[in-house]
Order: sequence, then structure tokens, then C-alpha cells
Amino acid sequence: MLQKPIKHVGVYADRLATTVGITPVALVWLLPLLFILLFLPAAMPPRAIELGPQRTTVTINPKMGVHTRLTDEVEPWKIKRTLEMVREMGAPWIVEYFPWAYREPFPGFFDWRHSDLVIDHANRQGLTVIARLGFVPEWARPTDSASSYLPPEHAADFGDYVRAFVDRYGDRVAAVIIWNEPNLALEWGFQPIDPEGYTRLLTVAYQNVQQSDHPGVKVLGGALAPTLAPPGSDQALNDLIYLQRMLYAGAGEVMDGLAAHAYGWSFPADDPPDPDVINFRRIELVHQLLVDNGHGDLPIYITEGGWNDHPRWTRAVKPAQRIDNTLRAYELAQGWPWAEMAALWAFRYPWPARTYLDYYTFVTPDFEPKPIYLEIQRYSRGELER
Amino acid sequence: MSMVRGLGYGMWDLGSGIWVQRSGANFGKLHTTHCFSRVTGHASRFKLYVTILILLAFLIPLLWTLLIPRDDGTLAAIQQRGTLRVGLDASFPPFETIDDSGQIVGLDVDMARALAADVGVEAEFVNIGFDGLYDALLARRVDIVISGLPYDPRWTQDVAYTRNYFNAGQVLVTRTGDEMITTVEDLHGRRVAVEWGSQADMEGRRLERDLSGLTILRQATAAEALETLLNDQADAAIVDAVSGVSAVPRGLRIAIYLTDEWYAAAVHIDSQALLEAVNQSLERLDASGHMAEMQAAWLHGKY
Repeated sequence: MLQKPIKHVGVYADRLATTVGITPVALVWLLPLLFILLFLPAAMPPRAIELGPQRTTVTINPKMGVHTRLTDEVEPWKIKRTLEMVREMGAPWIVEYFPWAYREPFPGFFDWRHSDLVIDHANRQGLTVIARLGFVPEWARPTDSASSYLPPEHAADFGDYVRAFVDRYGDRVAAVIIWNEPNLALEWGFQPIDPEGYTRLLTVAYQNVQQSDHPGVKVLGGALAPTLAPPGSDQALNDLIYLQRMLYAGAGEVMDGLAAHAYGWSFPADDPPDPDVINFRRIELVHQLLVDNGHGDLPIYITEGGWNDHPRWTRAVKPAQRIDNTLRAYELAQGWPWAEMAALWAFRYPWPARTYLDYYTFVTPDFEPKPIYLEIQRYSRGELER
Repeated sequence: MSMVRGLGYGMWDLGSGIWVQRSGANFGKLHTTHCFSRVTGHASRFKLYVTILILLAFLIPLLWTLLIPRDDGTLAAIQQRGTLRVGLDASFPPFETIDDSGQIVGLDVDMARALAADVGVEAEFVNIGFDGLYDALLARRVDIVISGLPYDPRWTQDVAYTRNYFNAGQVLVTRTGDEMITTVEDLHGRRVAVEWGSQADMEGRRLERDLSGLTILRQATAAEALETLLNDQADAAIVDAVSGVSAVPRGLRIAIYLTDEWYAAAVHIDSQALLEAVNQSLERLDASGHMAEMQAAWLHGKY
């Protein structure tokens, strides 16, 4: 039964060869070659970009940083150019997101190619990397659940990822941030907000780093979203209340520092801290809470923050105010002994968001520096009188 | 003689309409026959039928997709319910904001009411953060998003955009009656005011690179850039279109759109009947001058 179709294939191949004017034997060689030529480029890794010479960031403020957004940036030259421009702006720190789902698409199978690119280039530019870890792969959560939902029975798998990450990169990253804004339902898998549950996850991650080849890599508690959510909200829990409950649950013993977000909204950088206001200096209340709970020695890493200069958004400021506030924020961070660094959101997006979010960036998707970038550069070089 | 290779072993002679057959048994020899009256051999006829069937199998679904609009009954549901649920983020004046009495007001709000009236219902506004607008539409929490929404090609698999209704790009503004500046090249040797650090500033820096003798005057706000022009201290100003339109009653005019940022409303990709109704309504608002009136009411002299 099988011989007939096979015979037909032979007849058709013979006719095809005659039609295109070559011998059937040549066709046998030509077709696989054609197949390889067509599909090989797709299977090949992107063209490698030379790392270049070792660089150092020159700046008058060594606490300056930016949150890059290279997670979805696939072209190596764009990764390199982004990090070059960060260095040229005078910021020695970057925060970058390394999603678990991208690194471990199947249990125990790790794909480090993209994170290698980012960390290799960042290190070569002389930048210190802080890695945010999160984003649950599909295999570690129920079907159709949110990527921020980590079932407790998979906490150990996340711990394994944290350890694998630290084993691979060691002190090439200064610190790892465990999760992001867990005081928002959106970032906690739309589950009830649970500071004690988060502390258990932080404990698993901390223990894994301690048992890794590089226990010196710092573990940072996840940054909380500054929010004034009313009590009982199922969407968010006030960041100060959440942190207090974390500390009651023992979080102070299982972290080497705390990541924190410091957005200024429409307030100037110097606007005084107030529990009922979201402003840049709210970060001082976070530090005070650590002090009050006997953890004043824990450094704070500002891993997101800043101002937006959209012309219409009600939480935005004028571009000139954004520049002034941003420079002042860097100055404030430099003066706070408990603040390790301040990375503002966001250096560049891979493509336009086409929303107010585009007005948080320092550089356009096609690498054109915005005026704020140029002013920060002048500041870092000591060319601005302030 | 021009020929087109067919799916079987032969080809159509386009000049004569003759099927030039190369049969399996006599491969290499040519048999010619008229394609519409007589086909040589049972096998050839069979191949012709198979070819037609294969073509139909591809063409019918293609035509179905292209020509038959999908509709999920949203418009009918709106008319049955009596309300058009409009998703917006009321933090974006003058398009949508919350006034002192707590009411959601703005150009988009007035436009939504006009669109709703055209389909015989009332508008019901659902205030959602900008980041959640598309999700709300896809989750059917709202029927339409009207929220200073820029057209974004990355969403076009899931949502359908209506006609554009406002271009919020960067504009070059001159004094009314100044016919000396009608193109970018006319800015050689001129003074142009911009808001320091803004998109307009970036446009100014680009022009500065290309045009000799251009002087950029950086001001603290867009309003001050326009004042500089009104006071004859500049020959033109670059501002966002909302600021530009706002300045029209003060004796300024928009000479050139330097960039485009079109706003449109969005509906679910399957809400084709609603899309058509909204587009017709927008067309009517444009043609009747009502859209221009609403824009003037919300923009003129305010920014």
C-alpha cells in the first residue's frame, strides 16, 4: 500500500527536475540545500556584538542610576547602545528585570542567552547591575492564571531559579530583588494581599542565596508600590502598613536591604514626607519604619521613581520641573547615608508605549536623547551650577 | 505566446485559451486542447476539478473573512440596554477630567454623548486607569474606549479603531496673517520659541541641526512660548496641538503639523456594527461642524 505514494513522489520529483531543467540527482541535493538556506537564518542566534573595551562611569554622584527596560529588547546592538548611553549620562547603576518565565521555560531547563547579553554589556560599560526577579512560568502556575501568581507549592521552584541566577552571575550582579510591588493585587496574582505570605517567599529566596556559590550577593526585599489605598481595598494595601506587617513577620532577618519605589507625582522633590501623601520623600518614612523596628542598618535601594512630563496627564509636571526634580532627587539620594543608590524609571522603552508612559523616559526608542538626558549628563559632569 | 503554468502538467496559453497538456505517459510531448470545450483524457479533467476545489477551499474562507463583517451583537445589546458604556481615564484634560463637582467632563465626554445619542441611547462613563482601558474593552466591561487614545498598530488584532478625530502632534504656530512661514524651510534665520525640555524642544533641536541661522528660544512653559510669539519676540512657536488650537482665538494660527499623533476611539474587533455606527456618527459630527464647535468650546483660549 505504501509503495504507490512513494512511487508517485519519485515520478513527481522526476517531472519537477525535468521542468526546472536539472537532473533528478541534482534535485536530491538542491532541495535540502534550499531548505537549509531558508530556515537556517531563523535558527541562528543573533549576530554577536563586540563587548568593546572595559569602561568606567565618570560622575560627581555615584548613587545615580536608572531602571533600564531591556527585557523585551532582542537586538544585541540596541542592548549595548542603551548601556553605553547610560554610562555616558553618568549613571553607574542600573536595575533590570530578568523574568523567571523567560529564563526557565521548562522545569530545570535554563536559557541564559539574553541575560548573559545584558549583564556582559552592562559590566563592560562599568555599570553595577541590580536584578529584579519575578514572572512565574506557565508550568509553575494554574492554566489561565496571572503571571504574578506563584502558588505556595511552587515557592521552592522560584527559590531554585534565584539560586541558579546567583550561581551563574555571582558578584557580577550586586543584588537581586525578590518580586515587585507585592502590595498590589495585580502583582500578587490577584490573590488576597498577604505580607506574611510574601515574607515566606523572601525567606525561601534568601536561604537559597545563602546556600549558593555566591552568598555575598545581596537579597533585597521587593519594592512596594507607594499607595494610599483605603483599608479593606482588595486592590492594594498601604505600603507603610504592608512593610510593618512584613517586619512583624520577620522580613528584617531575611534581607540584606530593601528595594523601594519613590515617585514624585506632581510634587517637587523637596516636598516633605507625609504618610497621607505620595511624593518622593515618602522614602524617608520607609527608612524611619525600618529604624523603628530595629533595622535601621538595612540600606534602601531606590529601584524605581521619578516624574512624568506628559503635557496633559494630571499627575505629570512640566518638562522643566521634571528636570529640576530629577536632579534634586539624585542630590537628595546622595545625601542620605541609608540610601545605597537611586535608579529612576525608565531609561528607554524598546518601542513607543503611545501613552503618558513615554514621558517617563530619558531617551526615545530610536536613541535620541531627550533634554532631560542632556541635563543629567551635564549635572553628572559637574557642568551645572546648582 | 504567453503561458501561465497550471497546477497539473501543462499550461494555459493566455493568447488562445488553449490548455497545453503534458501527460504523464508522454511527458515531454505536447497535446493541445481548448480549455473550455474539450479536455484531453479523464485524468486531466479530474485534475481540473481537484484544482478548482482546492482554489475554492482557499477562496471561500478568505472571501468570508474579508467581505462578511464580524459582529458580536454589541450594538444591539447597547440599544437593548439603553446605554453606551464608555471607558475613559478621567485624568487627561481637556479630553476627560473630573470637575469641581465630581462630574466627568471634557471633549471626549461631549463627543461620547453625541455618539450615544446617534444610536438612540445615553452614555455611561466608566473611569479606568489608562493602562487598563484595552483590557476593560476586551473583557467587555465597556463597549467603547474614548479617552484621548492614540492609534496603536500593536492592538489591531484585538480592537478596531474608529475614524481619527483629533491630531495631537507637535505644531508650528505663527501669527495670523503671517504668510512668510508656510514650510519648515521658511524658518531659516528665524526665532522659534519652545517649552524647555518638551517634545517641542526636541523638534526644535532637530530643526536646529538641519536649518542654518535658526534660533531656538527656550521658555519655561508652552504658554510662555506662545506669549513670546504674541509679543513679537519670536517668529514662530512649536507647541503641542492642544496648546496650538487653544491659541487660535488670540491671533495665532497653526501653520504646519510637524508630527502626527492621531486620537481615535476603539471598539472590540468583533463589534463591527458598532464600529460602523460610530464612524457614521463621527462623519456626521465633522460634516455638520459640531465636532469643530466642541473642540472650540473645550480648547479655545484655555491652554
